[in-house]
Amino acid sequence: MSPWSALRAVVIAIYVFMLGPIVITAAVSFNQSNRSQFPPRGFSLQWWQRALSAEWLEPLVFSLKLALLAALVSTLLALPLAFALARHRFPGREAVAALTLGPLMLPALVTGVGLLQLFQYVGAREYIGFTALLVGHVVICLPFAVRTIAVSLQTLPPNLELAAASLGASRAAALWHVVLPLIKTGIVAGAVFAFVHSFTDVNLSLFLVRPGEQPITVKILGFLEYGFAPTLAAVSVITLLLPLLLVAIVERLSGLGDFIYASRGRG
Amino acid sequence: MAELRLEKLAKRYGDTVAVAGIDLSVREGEFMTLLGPSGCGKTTTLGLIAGFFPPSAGSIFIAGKPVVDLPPFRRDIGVVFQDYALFPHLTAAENVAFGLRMRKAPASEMAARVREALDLVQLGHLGERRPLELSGGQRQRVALARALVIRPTVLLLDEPLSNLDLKLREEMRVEIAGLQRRLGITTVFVTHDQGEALVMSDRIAVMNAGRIEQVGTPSDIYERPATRFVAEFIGRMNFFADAGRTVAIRPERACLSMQAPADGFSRRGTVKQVLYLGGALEYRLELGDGERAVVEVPNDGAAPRYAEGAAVWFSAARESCYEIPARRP
Repeated sequence: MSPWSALRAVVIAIYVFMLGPIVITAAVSFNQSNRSQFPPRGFSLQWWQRALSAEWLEPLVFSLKLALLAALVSTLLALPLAFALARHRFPGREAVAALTLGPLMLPALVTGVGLLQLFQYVGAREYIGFTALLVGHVVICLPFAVRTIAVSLQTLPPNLELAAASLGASRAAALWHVVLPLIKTGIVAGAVFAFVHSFTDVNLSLFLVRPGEQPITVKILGFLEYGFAPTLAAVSVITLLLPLLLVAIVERLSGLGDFIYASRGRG
Repeated sequence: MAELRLEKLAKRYGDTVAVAGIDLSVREGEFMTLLGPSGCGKTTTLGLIAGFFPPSAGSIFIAGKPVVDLPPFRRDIGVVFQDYALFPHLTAAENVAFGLRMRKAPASEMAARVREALDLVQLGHLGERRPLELSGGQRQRVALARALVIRPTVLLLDEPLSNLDLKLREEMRVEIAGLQRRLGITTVFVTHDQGEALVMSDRIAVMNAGRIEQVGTPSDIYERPATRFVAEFIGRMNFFADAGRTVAIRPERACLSMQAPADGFSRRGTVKQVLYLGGALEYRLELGDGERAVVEVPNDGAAPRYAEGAAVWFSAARESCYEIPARRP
C-alpha cells in the first residue's frame, strides 16, 4: 500500500467516526416505532413533532438565550483583558493571565462544583439557575474570547497605531478607526467560539440548574436516564444544527475564514 | 529660524543609553539626514521627535514651540515608516484622507486635497486600491502622500527606502528629494545608507553610540570628516600614521605611479590584488610597516594598469590629504 492510499484510508476512517454517529442519529429520528433502530424501520415525523413541543423547546430557547448572553458578556470582558494581556506589562499580569485562561485547563465540572459551593457559601442560593449559569458560562467561555482577540491584536503591525497618532488621531480615535476594524473578525470569532462552547456545555451546567431553568444539554442528559428514544435523536439533530447554522451565517457576514489579519486584503 | 530644535535630548532604557544628550537645529525647508549604523540612536531620535515615547531628558521645539509634553497627534508632524504602516482595511485614498478626517476637514476640501496628494506621488489612478493590492514602491508613495497631505510642519522619514529593491530605491531617492524641495517642507530623514544620505540631504548629522559626531553638508562630511568614525563610516578611507598625526586619504584621490612623485604624500608599496569594478579599477596595496592602502582608478582608458606584484608608488596631492584630529573637538 502506498503512503498516499494509507493516508487516504486514515482520513476516510476519521470522517466515518466523526460523521457516522451524526448520520445514524439523524436517521434514527425518523423511525416509525419507539425503538432506536438503525437503519430506521418505516418513516414517521412523530418524534420530530415531540421534539418541537414545549417540553423540549423551552430548554432549547433557554440554552440559546444563555449562550447568546454568555457570548456577549465574555466578549465584552475579553476586549479589555486581551488588550491588557497582549499589549502591556504590568504587575500581576501573570496572575491575570492565569486566572483568565485557567478555566481552559480545568475540567468544567470542577468549575461547576466550585461555583455551586460559592453561591451557597455567600448566601446567593436564589441565584442558582439562570444567573449562576450565566456566571459559570462566562468563566469558561472567557478564555476562548480572550485568546482569539489577543491573537488578532498581536498580528497587528505595531506601527499602525503610531501612524494613526502621527496623523492626528487620539488614542481613542486610533482604537476606533484603526484597531477595532482590523481585529473585528477576531472579536466575532471569539464570540462564536464562546457561543458554541456555552451552548454545548453540560459538565458545568449540571451543578447550577434548577427546575425550569436548565439548558438543553442537561435536559437531554436527564432524559437519557429513562433510556434513549427517537425523540432524543430528533432533539440532538436540532441542537447540532443550531450552532452550525450560526457559524455559517457569521462566516458569510464577516469572513471568519480570513480571521487571520487581512490575509486576503479584507482586513 | 530653526523649524526643529533638539536641546540636550536624551533617551535611556535602564542602563542603556540610546540617545546621549544631543543638540541639533534643522532650518525651515531643510532636508536633514540622521545617518549612522544600526543602534546609533537615529531611529530613537526620530521617535522622540514624533513623540512616540518620552525622552529621559532634554527639549524639542517645533516651530519655536516646546513639544515634549505633547502627544504625537498634537505635534503637527508627518511620519513615513520603514514598513509604511498603511491601514490595510482602507483604500489608498482613504489612507491618505485619514489625517484630514482626524482634523475634521470638510468633505469637499478633503476630496480635493486627497486627489492632489495622490497626483503628487503619481498615484492618482490607484486611489481605490487596498495596500495589499499595491507594489512596494506604490505603498511607499501612498505613505508619503498620507504624511504630506496634512501639510505638517516637520516631515519625518524612517528608513523609507530600505524595503525597496535597488533600482526603485535609487529612483525614489531622487524623487523624494525633489518633492521635498518643491514643497519646501522641513524634513528629518533617518538612514544607515550613506549613498542615500549624500544624494538627498542638505545637511547630514552623523550619529554614533547615541551622539552626533558631525553635522555638515554632504561635501563637508565626505571631504572634511571631523572624526575617524565619520571618515570610516562614510565612503572608504586610507589612514596613515605620519609623524604622530593620522593622515586620511580617499581611495579615489590617491594615485599610483612607477616613479616617486615630486611632492605631496607618498609611500612605496606592492600591488597585492586588482579588482575590476567596470567603471573603475581597485588596487589593494601593501606598503612598508604592514600598512595597507586602497586606490581606485577610473577605468578611463588613459591610466596605466599595474599587475599584481608590481612595485609602485602610492601618492596623493597635499590638498587630498586630510588630517584627522586626534580627539573629538
